[in-house]
Amino acid sequence: MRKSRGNARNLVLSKEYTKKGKIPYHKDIAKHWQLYLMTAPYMIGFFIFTVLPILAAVVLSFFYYNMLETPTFIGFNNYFNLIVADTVFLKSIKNTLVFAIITGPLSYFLCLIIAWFINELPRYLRVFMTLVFYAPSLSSSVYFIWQYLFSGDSYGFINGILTKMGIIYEPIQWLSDESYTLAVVMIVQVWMSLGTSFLSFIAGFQGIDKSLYEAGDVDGIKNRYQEFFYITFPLLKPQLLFSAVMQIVSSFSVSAVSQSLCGLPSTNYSAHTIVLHITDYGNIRYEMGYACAISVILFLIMLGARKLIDILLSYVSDT
Amino acid sequence: MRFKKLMALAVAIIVLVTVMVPICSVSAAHKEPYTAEEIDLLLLDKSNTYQKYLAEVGDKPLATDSIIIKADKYYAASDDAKIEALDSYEGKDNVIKWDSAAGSVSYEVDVPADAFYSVKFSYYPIAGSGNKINIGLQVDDGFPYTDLTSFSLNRTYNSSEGIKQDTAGNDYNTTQVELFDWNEKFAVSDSGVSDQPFLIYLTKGKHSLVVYSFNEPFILGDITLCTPAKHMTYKEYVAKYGQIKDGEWGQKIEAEDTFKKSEQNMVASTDRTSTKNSPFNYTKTVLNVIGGSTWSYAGQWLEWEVEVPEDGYYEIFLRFKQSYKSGLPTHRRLLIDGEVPFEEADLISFGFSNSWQGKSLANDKGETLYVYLTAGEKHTIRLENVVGALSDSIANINSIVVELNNIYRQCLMITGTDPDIYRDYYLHQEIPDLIPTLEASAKELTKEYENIKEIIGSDRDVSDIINVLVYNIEDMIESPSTIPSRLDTFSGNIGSLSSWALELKDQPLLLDYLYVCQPNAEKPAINDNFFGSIWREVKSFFYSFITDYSNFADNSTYDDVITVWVNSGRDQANVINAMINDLFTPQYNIGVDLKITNASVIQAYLSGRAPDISLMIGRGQPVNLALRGALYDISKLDGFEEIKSRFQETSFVPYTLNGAVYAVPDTQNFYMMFYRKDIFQELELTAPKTWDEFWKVMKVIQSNNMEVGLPYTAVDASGSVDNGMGSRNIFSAILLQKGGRFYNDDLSATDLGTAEALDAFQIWTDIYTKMDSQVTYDFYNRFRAGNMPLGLAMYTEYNRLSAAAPEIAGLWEMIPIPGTMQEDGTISRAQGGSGSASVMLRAAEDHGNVESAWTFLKWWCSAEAQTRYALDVEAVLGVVGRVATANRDAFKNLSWNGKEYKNLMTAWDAIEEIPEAPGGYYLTRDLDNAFRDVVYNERNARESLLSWKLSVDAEIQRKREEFGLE
Repeated sequence: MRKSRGNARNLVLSKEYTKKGKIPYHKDIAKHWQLYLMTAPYMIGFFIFTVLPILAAVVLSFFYYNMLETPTFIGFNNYFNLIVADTVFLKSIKNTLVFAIITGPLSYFLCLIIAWFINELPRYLRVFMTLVFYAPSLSSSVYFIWQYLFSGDSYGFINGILTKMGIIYEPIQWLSDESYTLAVVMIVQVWMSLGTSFLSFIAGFQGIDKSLYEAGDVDGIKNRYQEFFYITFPLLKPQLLFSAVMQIVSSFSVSAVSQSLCGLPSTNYSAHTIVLHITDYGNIRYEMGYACAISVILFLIMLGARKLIDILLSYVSDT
Repeated sequence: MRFKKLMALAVAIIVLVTVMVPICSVSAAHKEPYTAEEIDLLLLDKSNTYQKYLAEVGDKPLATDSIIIKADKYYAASDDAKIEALDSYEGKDNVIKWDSAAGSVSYEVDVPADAFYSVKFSYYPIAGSGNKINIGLQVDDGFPYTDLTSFSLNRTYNSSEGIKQDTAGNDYNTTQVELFDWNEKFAVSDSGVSDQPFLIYLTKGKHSLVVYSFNEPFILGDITLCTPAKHMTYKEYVAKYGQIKDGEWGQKIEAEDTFKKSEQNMVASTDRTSTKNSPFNYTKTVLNVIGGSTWSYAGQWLEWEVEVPEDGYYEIFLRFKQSYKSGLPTHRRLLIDGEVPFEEADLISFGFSNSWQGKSLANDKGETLYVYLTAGEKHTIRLENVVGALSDSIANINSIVVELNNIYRQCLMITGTDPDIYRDYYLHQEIPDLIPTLEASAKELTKEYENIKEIIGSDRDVSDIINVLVYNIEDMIESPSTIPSRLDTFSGNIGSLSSWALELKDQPLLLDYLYVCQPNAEKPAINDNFFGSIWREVKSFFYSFITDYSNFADNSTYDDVITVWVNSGRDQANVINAMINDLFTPQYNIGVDLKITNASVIQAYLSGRAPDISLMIGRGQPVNLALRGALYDISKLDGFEEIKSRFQETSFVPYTLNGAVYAVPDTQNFYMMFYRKDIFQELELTAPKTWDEFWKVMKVIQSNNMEVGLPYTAVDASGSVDNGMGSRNIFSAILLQKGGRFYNDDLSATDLGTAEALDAFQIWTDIYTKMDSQVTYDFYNRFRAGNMPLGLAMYTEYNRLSAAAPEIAGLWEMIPIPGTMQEDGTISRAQGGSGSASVMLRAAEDHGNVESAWTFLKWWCSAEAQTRYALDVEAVLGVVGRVATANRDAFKNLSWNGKEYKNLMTAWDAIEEIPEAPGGYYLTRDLDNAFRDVVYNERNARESLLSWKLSVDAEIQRKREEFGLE
């Protein structure tokens, strides 16, 4: 009963579209007000908590605002300063891109491969291993243990082991020597990010119909690699897209790990990312307008990156 | 080669002689009283233990008669002892008032026969700095054992008005006040190495007893040489008082309603683990228990009063919880009217369990034992901490630990902290007594292990720690060439054994009530049944939704109500709340809405709900907020000058901007220098007073393969705003002592281009480049182990070392940081400080609360409030949580002893606080960058500092333009 009504409505909708082209919005709302009513709770929330802040940030980025006094309009000054005068910002963009380019794809493929391996395990072991790999993202601030591993003390774990092995003689300041900071943060970030996308891959693997493999077998698939590339991979497309977006977003918004391991700012801004730059201006210097300008730029970069992934993936899946 | 050996021998002999001579000269016959320095040296001697003394004296008879010595019958007093003989004081005759907290007084005593005596002092404490009164007792020419060189006489306390309720119906503790009265106490071990009073052996004839006073003023009544106590058996006790009769009468005495207590910090607390707790409430805070981990140390006691309806026998039933020491019992001694009634009351053990338990005095067979009480008068019941049967073992383990630590350090001086595992050190040849000592220690440890196992009755918690060390030692003995690679483990094992022995001494016990009743009277139930406890959890869970935990009191009855935010934990906020209810509101009739927040003031402003006052905010915040017009300038308010005088003179500098003051300091912390006296003595070093001396000492220590700790804290986000420049590293000390400064006069730029600054920066970076000091290290553990015998650390580190490093107690000292010799010959010990502050917000003006808020702020930073706050927080969190209060008078009231206090004051007086400039966070940040550029990237120091200075100046300039200061 319910189903048929739904179908009827769809039918009506498509009919109107075909007949008149676009109908005026208010008429559409008046006609399907129940639908709008039902999406309203979410849409209102979305508008207040997501759209409005973004708009506010865009507006505030043209102001000088220290959070206590009334904002003053300063036009494009924030953007000028950001691009022309702020060398640290350029450094943070560089770092963020390095993150996105290295840790994003790295953890993406790592997730895929590990999920593939784990999928081959017997059931109970698989459940257990899934938990093990998902644990870092479950307990979100567990990366503090890396602080002990990478402690600059000569008795710190990694320093201690390397000294024992005779590789180093003096403790390395992993978290404050700028030659190491970025690498350390990347390692931890990759470790951390084996989370959501990993789970979605596991789910994707589980969702593939077994009979397809049998069919492939009949059609002459020779080994597991062919099986993976010709059957599994194409069928995983939705998960791949989802994970790619998640990974990109998370690599662009790396901040907590870097901040708690290397401090804010890290030595000579060596592990400074765009989000940290926002924190620096927003929370330390109380220059909200400027921080908003940075976040607007980050927003644009992310939009662009998403578009890029779409193009890439459609290219991959089309061939 | 032979020449070399001869040389080495010669050097060794010289070293030995020079070290031994002063020691020998001290321990030789001594006619004059010891000086304070000599006493200090004597206290370093850990080998002269009580156990050793008893073994040496052997089996001798106990005295049969007591000898009383009146305090004013002394025959000599040292020059530094200010003594006034009083005919009578508060009911006691022939006493002396000893004000100087120093010096010694000598008595002569004629002993009738060779015998052992215990020594009892009657004394009347005088309000000093609130510490225990430390005294020493010399017999004839020397101290029989180290424990007698210094032991304590405690003060007594109780809460002024018991437990009261605030307007919201929650309980709070009232002030703990000292009770002044005549007290009696035996000379007894402070550390719990022996439960019974110390014995001294005196031969027939004349002897001299010399009493030393070290830290506190007091009135000495008399000194009694007593017959060592022998308690009667229960059988004798019953024979003495007659037939036991049953009865119905019973009375509950809440344990938190004490009559007297030995410690200021033993206060009532809350326990919700059972509805049978008395009293109990789901939603309100009720203070229903006392003790727990604050009642852990030997000698601490609580006392209650009881009155009974008729003469006769009474059962004393305790409801307690001992969930602290897994598998082990803890112990108490019961005293009725100050006396142990019978043998069995001398040591009562409280077994381990996770739930509440009930217990009466009982013998081994489980038969209840009764005490005889008379009607018509008040009796006191006292429970005193005793270590119990393990105390001998603990003492032995402690002396083994000292021995092994010595061995470890000797090895370390040869191998260094990072031994080369491919090299043969021949340690067993270099240190001839290495193997014999290890063998002896292993044997001793095995013996102690058997011992403890027998006493406890199981080896569950004992085996690993002792045995692991024993295996470790056995391995070392078996193949001495592997010793260097085993040293790390060795030191770790010693450390864990020592802390285990310390824990073993702790005797925590949580007490709910005492039930005094006639034999076989009915007693209250102890625990909820199974369903009862489930119901309790369910109910508590649902009540948790309707209880507002962030709000404390209901202030609707007051006209003036101010809002105060506290940026701290719940424990601290609870203390503040109790203080407000107890002291502030009754006195000023101003209600206080106290809220725990960790939200920033900025957020409060944005949401339009800014408080009037925010307590304990980071030091960089006030200026930052003031720049944006969020804070109220308190310098124009009346009484400000008086408030200023409560603090160190420069402590308002970081909170001052253009002449206006925006905050009152809460805490002030600074660096002190810690050094190991024993290692310094071994290396013949003296504690450095200036940096020049410091570098020399550092070289000696490093050439002996040990390290020196110079602090360096990396900047992080909140840190760079909140802690300011002060105590992040020693650069500020070096710079300020050289006469340099961070900013120019109007704070419009840094002043780091000066010769002094470049020089100071060069020195600072040299420490880590040329002198190879480590940037990151764990001071507490390395100082304990002895491989970092010298270091600078925040003075609060003292608390941790004194509370949690028993094996080095008395072996280290805290003194002011090194200074720089000035042209006029004085030494400047300047350094920057750190700490938090309290602010009044501009919102107070909008609320019309400036007057009340200012009253609150004045009260909060007063000596009275700060003392109370510091003591109460210490009571909750232990010594480790001691507050670094910025109020000078309050600081004096905390338990610092005379010498520490003097050292701390010297260092404190020298502090030159560093101003906070607009954009000053960039200085911390870029100074760090400059430092790291030099240390990691080997950049030229001068060049690095100057280039980073430009970046700081640019940011300061930018900020000044932003705020229209240019």
